[in-house]
Amino acid sequence: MNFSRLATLIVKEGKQLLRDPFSIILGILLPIIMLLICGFGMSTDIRNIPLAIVIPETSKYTTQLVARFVASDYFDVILTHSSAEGERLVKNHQADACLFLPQKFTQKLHGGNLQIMIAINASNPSLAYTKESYIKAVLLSGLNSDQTELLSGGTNAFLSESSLAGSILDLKPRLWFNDANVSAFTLIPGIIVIIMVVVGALLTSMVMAREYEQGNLESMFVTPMRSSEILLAKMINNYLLGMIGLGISLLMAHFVFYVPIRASWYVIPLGSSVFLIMALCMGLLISSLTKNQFIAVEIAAFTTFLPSFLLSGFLFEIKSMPILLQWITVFVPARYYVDFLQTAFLVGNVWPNIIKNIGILLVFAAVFMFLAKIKNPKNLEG
Amino acid sequence: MNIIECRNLSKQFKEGRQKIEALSDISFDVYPGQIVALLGPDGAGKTTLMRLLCGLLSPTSGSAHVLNWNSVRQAGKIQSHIGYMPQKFGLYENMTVGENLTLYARLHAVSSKESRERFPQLLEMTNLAAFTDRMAGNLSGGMKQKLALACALVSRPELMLLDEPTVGVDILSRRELWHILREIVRSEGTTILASTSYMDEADFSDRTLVLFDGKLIADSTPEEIRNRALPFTSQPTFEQGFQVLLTGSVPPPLERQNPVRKEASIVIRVDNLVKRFGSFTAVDHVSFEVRQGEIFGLLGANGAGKTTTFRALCGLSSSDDGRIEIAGLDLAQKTKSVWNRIGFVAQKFSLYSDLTVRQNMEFFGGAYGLRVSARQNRIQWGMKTFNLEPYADREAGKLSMGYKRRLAMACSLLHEPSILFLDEATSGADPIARYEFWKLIMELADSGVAIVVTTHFLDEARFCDRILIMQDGVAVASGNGEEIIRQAGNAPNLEEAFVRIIQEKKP
Repeated sequence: MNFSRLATLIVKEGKQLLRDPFSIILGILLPIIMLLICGFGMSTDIRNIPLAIVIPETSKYTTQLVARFVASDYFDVILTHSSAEGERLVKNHQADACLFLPQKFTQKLHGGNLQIMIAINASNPSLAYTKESYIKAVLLSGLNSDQTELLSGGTNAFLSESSLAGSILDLKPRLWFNDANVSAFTLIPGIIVIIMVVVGALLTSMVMAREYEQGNLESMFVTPMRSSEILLAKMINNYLLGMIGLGISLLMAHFVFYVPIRASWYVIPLGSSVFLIMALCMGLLISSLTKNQFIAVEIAAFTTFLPSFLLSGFLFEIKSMPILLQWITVFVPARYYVDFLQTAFLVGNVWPNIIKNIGILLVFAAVFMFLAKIKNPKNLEG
Repeated sequence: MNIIECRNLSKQFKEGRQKIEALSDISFDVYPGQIVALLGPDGAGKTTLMRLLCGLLSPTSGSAHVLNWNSVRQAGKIQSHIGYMPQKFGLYENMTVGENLTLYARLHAVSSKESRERFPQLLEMTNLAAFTDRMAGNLSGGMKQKLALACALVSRPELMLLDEPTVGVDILSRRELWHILREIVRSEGTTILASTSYMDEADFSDRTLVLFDGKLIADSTPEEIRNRALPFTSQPTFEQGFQVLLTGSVPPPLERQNPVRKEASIVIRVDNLVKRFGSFTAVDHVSFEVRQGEIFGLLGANGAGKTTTFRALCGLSSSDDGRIEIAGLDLAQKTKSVWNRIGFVAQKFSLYSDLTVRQNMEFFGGAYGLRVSARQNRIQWGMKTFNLEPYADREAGKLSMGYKRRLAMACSLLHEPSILFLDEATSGADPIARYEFWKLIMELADSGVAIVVTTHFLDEARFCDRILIMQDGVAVASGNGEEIIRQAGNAPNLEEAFVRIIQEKKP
C-alpha cells in the first residue's frame, strides 16, 4: 500500500463521481425520492375502505349504526336496500366489503338473536383480515356486544366464520414503541436499508465493471498500482456517498416523517457504516466477477437488492415465512441491519441487539472483503 | 541484454469444453532501440501476446522475459517499468487531458518537478498542448490515441507495448503516430513493440513479426517480407509478401469480367443528404449516384460520416434534409418496399452464433418472407456460391471470420436484392480473406448487383468502380481511381491522392 498512490486514486474517483450525474442521482436524489414515495405512499394503514351496507328496512338503530361507519375515516359507505345489489357491488369491486343487516333488525337486537353477515373480498387475505377487524370494531362499539352474534365471510374462496363471545375479558392492548401503529415508523428504517444497498452494492458493482468494460483497468494494471489500492479508493468514495445518503435519510425521517430516533446519535451511523462497507465489498466482488456492467447490475439486483426487500423482515415477517426461507434469510445481511435499525430507531440503545447485529455484519463484511481482494488479482485471467 | 525474450510461448483459452489455442509455440527476441511491428489479422493472437508480455495473462506453457523479469513471477516489476497502451486506450473519458496525464504520472511516481518538464514535452510532441483542459471523451479518435500514447510515455519507460494503436483513425493520424514513435525511439532510446492489422504499416518498423492463426510465421525486416513477392511482381507490396508467406504465391490481380456500362440504370440516387445530431452535422449535403452492377466505395476515417450515410441509405435512420431514391422508390415514403430490394451486411455480421449455418440461412430466408420452396432453392444457391456446404451443420459462432463473412453475405442475398450494402466488411481481415472477399464482390457486381461498401482500407479503393471520399461529413472527392488521382494534382498513387485530399481539407 502506497499512500500517495492511494490519494491519487481517491482524488481520481472523487472527480469521476462528481462528474457522473448517474452516481449523484443514485446516491442523493434516490434516497429523497424513495423516502417520499415509500414514506407517504407505501403504508399498511388502511383508509377509505369502500363498504356497502344493505339495509332492508330503516330504523333508529340501523341509522345509528350506519352513522358510525359514515363518521369513521376508515370507510366510504355505499347504502343499498337489496342484498343482491350488495353482492353485485362486491363482485364488481365497487365495494371491498358488504355488511348485510337483517330484516327486523330492532326486534332481533332486542330479542338477542341478531345475526349480521360481513362479506369481504379476500383476494388479499391479510388486508381482508384487517378490514374485517375494523368493521367488527365499529360494529361492536355500536351495538350492545353481548347481544350480538356475527357471521362473517368472504367471497373469494376465503370464508371465515367467527362468532364473538361476549366480553368475558376486557383486553386493553398497548402497542409498545409505536403507540399509534404508524407504519411509516417501521417502513422508514427498512427504506434506509434499501438505500444503503443501492448505493453500496448496486452502484459499486457498476463502477468496477465499467472500468473493466472501458479498458481502463487494463492500462491501470500496467503501472505500479496495486489492486487493493483501487478497491480501497473506490470504497472510500462510495462510502462517503452512502453516508451522505444516510444523512439525508435520517434528516428526512426525523423532520418529515417524525420517526423517533431513540438510540444514541452515534449508534445508527456506526451500524450503517459496517453494513455499507459490507455492501461495498459485495458490489466490488460482483463487479470483478462479471466484468460487465449489465450483468453486474442484474446480479446485484438479484443477490442484494431483492433479498433486502423480500427476505430482510422489512416487508414480510421472517417468522411467518416457510422454514426453508427462514433459513435462507440467515444469509441475508440486510436482515440483521433491518433488525438493528428498527431497534435503534424505535427502542433505543439495546446493547445485546446492537452488538449481535453489528457483529454478524462484521463477519459478512470480512468475508466479502476477503473475496473481493482475491477475486481482484492484477491480471485479466478468468 | 534483450528487452523481450519469448521462448516457446503458448496460450490456450477454455471456452466451455473446448480449448482454443490462441498462441502456439512463439519464440522471438526484441533488441533495444528498435521499433518492432507485430502484424496480423484480427484473431491472430496479437492482443493475447501483448497481455502475456505485461503479465496480465499467464502462459499455458513456455516463458516470456521482459526487461529480464519473468512475466509470471515478476509481473509487478514489469508493470511498473513499461509503458502499455491497450486497444481501448484506458483513458478516463470524464477527466481532462491534463488530469489523465497527471493520474498516470502519479501512479508511476513521477515527481511533480519531473512532470513539469515532461508534460509540455509530451503535449507538444502529440500536438495536444492546446487541449490540456478538454475532457478526454471529447477528443477525436486520433487525439485520444495520442493522449493514450503520452500517458504510456509519461514515466520514460524503457519499453513500450502498444496494442493496435492505429486502429480506426484516418491515414494522416496513423502516419503521424508512427512518426511520433520514431521520434521517441530516436530521442529517448525507447524500444517499441506495436501491433497492427494494417499491412502497409509494417514499412514503418525496423522489424516485423507476422502472426497468423496463433503462430509466428515471419520474423524479419519488412523489406525481406516484401521481397518474397519479387518472383511474382516487379514492385511488390508488403501485402503481396504476406500472401506469399501464407500461400506461396501472389494471386492474379482482380478484374471485372463485365464492367459497368455507361447506360446502366441508376439504382441509388442521393441528393443533398443532411443528417444532424444536435448541433453536430454528421453528413453535410452529400450527393451521389450508383448504377446497376457498380461497386461504389464510401471511404473515410472513423467519424467522417460514412456509417451515418450508410445507415440513412439503408433506411435505418432518418435524414434531416435531402432525398434518397433507391430502385426508383423514395426511401422516406417506401421504406418497407426498399427493404425488400436491398441486402445489408453489418460490420459485426449480425449472425446468430448458436444456430448452424443452415439454420441461420433458414431464419434470414424466413425473415425476408421467402416461401419454403424458394427458400430451399436460394439456400442451395448460397451454400454453393459461398462454399458453405462443408460447414452447413456447424454453429455460426464457431466459424472463422472469413466464413462468418461469407455466411453473412449469403444470408443477405437470399432474397435476390438488386443492391447490397456492406459496412466495413474487411476490417481486420487477412490478405487472403480480403482477396477472396473482393473476388466474390466482383462476381456479384458482374451479375448486375449494385454494391455499396464502406472501408477504411485505401488500397481497396482500387477494386471499386467509383469512390466517394468523406471527411468531416462532407464529400471531399469522388470519381473513379484515375479521377481521384487527377483531383489530387496527379498524385503518384491512390493512397497518396487520398492523403493529399484529406490534408488539404483539414482545418
